[in-house]
Amino acid sequence: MTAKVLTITSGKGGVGKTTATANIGVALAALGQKVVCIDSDIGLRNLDVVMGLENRIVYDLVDVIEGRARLRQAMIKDKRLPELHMIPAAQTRDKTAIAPSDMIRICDELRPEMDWILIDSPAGIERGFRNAIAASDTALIVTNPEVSAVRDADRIIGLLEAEQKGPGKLIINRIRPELVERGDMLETADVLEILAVELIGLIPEDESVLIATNRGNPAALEPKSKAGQAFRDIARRLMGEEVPFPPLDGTESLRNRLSRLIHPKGAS
Amino acid sequence: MSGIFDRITGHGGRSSAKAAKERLIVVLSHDRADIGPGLLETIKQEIVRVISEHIDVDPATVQVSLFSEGREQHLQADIPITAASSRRKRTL
Ligand SMILES: Nc1ncnc2c1ncn2[C@@H]1O[C@H](COP(=O)(O)OP(=O)(O)OP(=O)(O)O)[C@@H](O)[C@H]1O
Ligand SMILES: [Mg+2]
Repeated sequence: MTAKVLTITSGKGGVGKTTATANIGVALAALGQKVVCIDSDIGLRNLDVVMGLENRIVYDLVDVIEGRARLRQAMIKDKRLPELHMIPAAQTRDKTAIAPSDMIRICDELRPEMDWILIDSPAGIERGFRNAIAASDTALIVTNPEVSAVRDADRIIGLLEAEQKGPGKLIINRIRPELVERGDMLETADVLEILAVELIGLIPEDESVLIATNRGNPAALEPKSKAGQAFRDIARRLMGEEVPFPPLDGTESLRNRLSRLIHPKGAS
Repeated sequence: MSGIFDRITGHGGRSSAKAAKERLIVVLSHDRADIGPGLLETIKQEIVRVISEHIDVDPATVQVSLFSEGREQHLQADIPITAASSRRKRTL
């Protein structure tokens, strides 16, 4: 077994990196994959609460790096999915507590035991970003269909290329089909044309994400959640399956609806 | 036909999403090439100066811009040449 290391990154803060890390981790584990999610946002630990594992933390990433704990001791096993694990960030330290070489060493130690290592990156393009991509095989770039988030995603894609970390794959999160329909939100096709990068996920804005986070039960565990379904689709694409992108934009559905109104017999 | 749909769906006129796309294209071409609007203007003036040593050009019609092909950046200069007839008159 040799794990693939995925870094979930964005440039701009608050676009959904931690949410994506938790949900893709859950979705991969639900497919029977051995997964560890690492929170590399030192000082702003969040992955633990989003995954609902905050009560089980004893040691953190910095404890491992500084030799106070072994990797196994810091790795929390999820009780819902036996193949899912999480390593929390330290809450009372900052980004300088770890170096890119530490991340490479930790991932090298984990690789033989896992199928997937997911690294939740902090916002920004400085030290924390460098730490998060140091061991990365593939970057998943999260953005929102919004000017500043797309601009920052472009910056990240440029930096990944400069670091020889490949172009990465794009997740567009918080899409609101009704706004796309009325021309007030960037369409997926436009974001892809502008960023010129491969797409791996389209996630709708969905209140089930908030509810899931309140409970510490990622939406990907919720069979009925639309966002959860979109994250499960990403997991299957990562596994090499060809999963079509459902027309979230709504443009098509609106056209169908209109043509049904105009041609009620369906003779469009 | 598509006109009706565009009006209903808000794609007609200047939707805010269209504005966002156009502004992003411009700002990203500057970001990627690390060439700001100021530098572009300087490059334009230099080009006009060099070309003017050989042929007449109207600086107001010269356009220097950036555009992308995928993630590759191009610097593009469009320099309309003043008609030969009017050039001859001016050299007289
Ligand atoms: N698809 C979605 N629908 C609704 N809410 C969402 C969605 N994705 C994320 N959110 C919400 O957006 C907020 C920010 O998400 P998250 O913490 O995952 O972002 P982040 O990129 O990790 O932020 P930071 O840069 O601070 O680490 C959270 O409150 C989350 O619940
Ligand atoms: Mg986060």
